[in-house]
Amino acid sequence: MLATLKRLIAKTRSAFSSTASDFDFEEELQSHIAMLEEENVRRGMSCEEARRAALLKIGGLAQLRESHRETRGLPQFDSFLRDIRYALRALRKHAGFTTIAVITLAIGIGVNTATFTAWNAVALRPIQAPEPKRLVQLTRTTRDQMFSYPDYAYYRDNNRTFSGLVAINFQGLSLSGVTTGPSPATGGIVGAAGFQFPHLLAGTSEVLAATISGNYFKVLGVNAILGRTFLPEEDGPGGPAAVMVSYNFWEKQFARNPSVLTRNLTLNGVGVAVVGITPPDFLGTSPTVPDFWVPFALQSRLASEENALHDRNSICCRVFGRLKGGVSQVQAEANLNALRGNLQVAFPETKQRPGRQAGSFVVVQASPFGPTDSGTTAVAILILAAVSLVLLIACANVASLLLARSAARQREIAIRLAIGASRRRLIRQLLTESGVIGLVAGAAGVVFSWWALRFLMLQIAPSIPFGNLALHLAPDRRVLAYMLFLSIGATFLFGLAPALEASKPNLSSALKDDGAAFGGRLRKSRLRDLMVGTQVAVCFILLIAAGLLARASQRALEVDLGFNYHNIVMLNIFSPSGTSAAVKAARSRLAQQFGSLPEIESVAGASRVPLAGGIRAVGVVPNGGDPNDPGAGTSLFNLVTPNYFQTMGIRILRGRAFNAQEVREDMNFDGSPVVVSEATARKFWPGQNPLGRRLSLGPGGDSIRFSGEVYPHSVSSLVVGIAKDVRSVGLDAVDDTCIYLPSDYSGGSLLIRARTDEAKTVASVQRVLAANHTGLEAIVGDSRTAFSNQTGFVLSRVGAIGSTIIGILGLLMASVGIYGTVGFAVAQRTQEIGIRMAMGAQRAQVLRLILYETMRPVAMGLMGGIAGSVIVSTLLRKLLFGLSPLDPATFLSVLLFLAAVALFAGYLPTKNATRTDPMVALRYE
Amino acid sequence: MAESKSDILQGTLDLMVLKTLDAMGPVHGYGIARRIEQIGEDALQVNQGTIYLCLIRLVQKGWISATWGTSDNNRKAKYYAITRAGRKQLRSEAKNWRRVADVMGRFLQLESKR
Repeated sequence: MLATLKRLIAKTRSAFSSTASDFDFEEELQSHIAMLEEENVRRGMSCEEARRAALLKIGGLAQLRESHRETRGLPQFDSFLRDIRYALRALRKHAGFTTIAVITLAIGIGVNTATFTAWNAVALRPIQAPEPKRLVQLTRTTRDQMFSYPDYAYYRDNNRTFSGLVAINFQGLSLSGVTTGPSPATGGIVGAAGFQFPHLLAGTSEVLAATISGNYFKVLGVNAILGRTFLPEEDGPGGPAAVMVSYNFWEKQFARNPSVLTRNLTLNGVGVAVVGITPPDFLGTSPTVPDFWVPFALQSRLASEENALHDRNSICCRVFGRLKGGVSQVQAEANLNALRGNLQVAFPETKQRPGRQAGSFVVVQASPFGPTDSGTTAVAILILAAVSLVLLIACANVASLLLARSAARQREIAIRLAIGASRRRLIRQLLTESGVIGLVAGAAGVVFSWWALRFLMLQIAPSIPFGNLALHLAPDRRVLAYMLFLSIGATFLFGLAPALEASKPNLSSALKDDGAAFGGRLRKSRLRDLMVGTQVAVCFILLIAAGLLARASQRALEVDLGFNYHNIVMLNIFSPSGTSAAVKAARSRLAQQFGSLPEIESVAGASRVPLAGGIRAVGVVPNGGDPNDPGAGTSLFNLVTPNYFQTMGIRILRGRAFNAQEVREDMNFDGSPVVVSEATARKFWPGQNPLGRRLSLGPGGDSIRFSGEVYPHSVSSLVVGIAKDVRSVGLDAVDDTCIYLPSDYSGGSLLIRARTDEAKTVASVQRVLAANHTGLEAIVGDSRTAFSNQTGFVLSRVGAIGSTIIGILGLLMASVGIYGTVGFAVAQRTQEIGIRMAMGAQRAQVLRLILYETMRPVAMGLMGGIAGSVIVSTLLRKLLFGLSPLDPATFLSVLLFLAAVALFAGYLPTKNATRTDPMVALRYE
Repeated sequence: MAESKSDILQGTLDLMVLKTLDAMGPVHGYGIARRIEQIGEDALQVNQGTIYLCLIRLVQKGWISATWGTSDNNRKAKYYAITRAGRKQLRSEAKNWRRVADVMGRFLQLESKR
């Protein structure tokens, strides 16, 4: 056993020092022969005889040397090393071929690795805490992930399956005495791609705070890198006002000065003490690094919403937990569902949304980026499929390059076969060459993907208005393993077929050197045709996807929203420390001041800005009646100033809008006039005239409410107008309900219609704000910001950009591939072309003949591409904003474009071939 | 001519080399070959080159060691010596071999009595 091991070690060592020990052995043999010779001479032989006898005695020297090498070293490994050395030499000799093959594959592998790195950084990233496998998120079958604080506390205190449950939510807070400077308007390639995020006006100090339960860090098992985490009393009523600061904010704002722990900061006008700093890039259970970590008890004081923590009807937080050791997710679900039953019995008056009540618990593995649902996975698979196609093109490309090369190496290979190399040995040699290309390309691909992702991050990061992006995009072990898998997989994909093809024993014809004449080309053309066809088909699919998505995202901008968003500036005014009454007063005053500016046409107020999220719904009891009826219907609502419809360009189809006398200042709308959308009228009074009907508003139905907010309430409001349907929730469909209620400017955001361009208006708004010295702060956004938040628009725009890049890469590769393949095929047939020309064929005839043969696989590829595209574009249907998946304009233009590129790629080398003098062509080779 | 000589059984050459070195002390490859031929009295067909392969194998296994030296008639040669592990191996191999030979001998006797 020991001896075997020793022998293996010795063999391995000697495999690396072959020449020295070969020399040693040779010397020993020579000495042996000399001794034999001497003895033979002593015995009386002649010198020649003595030498001959000696050589006979020792046996065949050549065989001996060969078996010596086998005994001494590792013959398999040795020949592998030799293969690699030979491959490197061969590749270096054909530097042009090698460079093209490596670059092509590196792009293919790089794009794939980049995608995987992103997926790895997002979906596969565990929570940054000890034993992340035991950390779970509490969700419900209704996909509802938000809980009310009292519900959370009940589950936290009564479950038997978790060692701890934590709650988290996010809030913007105002930090006094520190100026963060304006967040920049979206620029770089993000802006160029058509995105715009809302940004803060200069002089503001809005910070992002994660509101957490006091046990958050204890349960996660994460310590502060400086100072400490929260004490239990700091999340209790009347406890000390303590906050933690994230490392990222500490670095950005306080230059990592540890004295921040002794300082008092003022958040929303309340003095707080910093007790600790969280680790760098610590995300906790959320996708972004907040600036501050604030306990719920303190947050309710900062926001003057002391009641929020006791209201079972207002949802406020996501809940995560650490499973006790040995407890499965299923056991935890059973435990939670039992508690949910208790809760429903204990608080029957809780008017939770029916949907929420029906949802039983689903406990999922916690991830900073939320549970990956089927939708995300589908998108990821689609992207992965697209980039795999690029790699496929790259492989096809390199395979046809290799085919071309192997045709050129035919004689070399034939000689090797003739002198006795086995076919397996040859295939191994050829695959080693491919493997070297694959691995070098893989390494280059990782570097390329890392660089590309960094570039993208640097472009995107400054455009994120709040929080800090902390993606870990450096290649880790998983990424490297994936790259290795791709490289080796690709090696077989592009290397195997040419190796099999090249090593086919066909000695006589290859040695006779007629491989390039009439018959020879036919043999190889089928595989090459397949390569060309595949490339064209894949390219077609990618370009169709790119074309459809680009057209769709353009269409999203042009879709009829029901209102006119051009030249609308949205302004959110809030007070860092003042009371809400002061903000209300300031809003009305500012609205008047803005209205008097010459460049502003009108200023409207609304509780909810279209396409800006913040969806709220109330229970609706049609035809009057008890507003508290739990069985009520539900409708979205918007509290608007009378000039809202005119400012936003929403047409009143029947009846009238509000007038100034009808405005209510509180949330009581008893007997007040309301305007409903067409869809709302259809929903509550199908087929009837809604004008003059009455309705009551209350907390019933599926109403959507948030903590700390007051909701409209009314008995017997009167419908006075029907407004045109708008798309204010999403771009894909008109809102299914909306009730407009008359209000003043206290409601929420200001919507400013500019006469001229938006940028100028933003500047004057900022001037007015600064001149007022109100201490108010504002978030501003123009019409583009509204679209930038729309999932549909983002998906189709990002998809269009992504698939355009991928498609262009694919197209470039495919056209280079076609050019190369056709060029090589034509070069091989130079002799034939010469003969044809010498026999009197016209140049045009030859050109047509060859182009026809070249274009046949292209045509097949296009046909396959059309079939594939139909499938892919049907999958994309949801993102197309009503564009037909078989949009003829896109299909036709891609078809013509691709055919033209292929024709050109084939024409160039063919033209050159027909230019050659027949005599030269005949003498070719 | 070749019919009268037996080919060396796989593994027996190792044993012969080890025993030679055990008996003679450090000696070069040529000396080992001579010794084996002498003892075999031309009954064995030894391809002298293969002895070197055997020597390499034994060195790799750590049973013998090799150093360059000078032969009696002033020629550079590699001298081989048995190691302690080699002696141990030799003892167990020899025992093994005797047992096999013993069994074979009895077996063949049995046949002749029939």
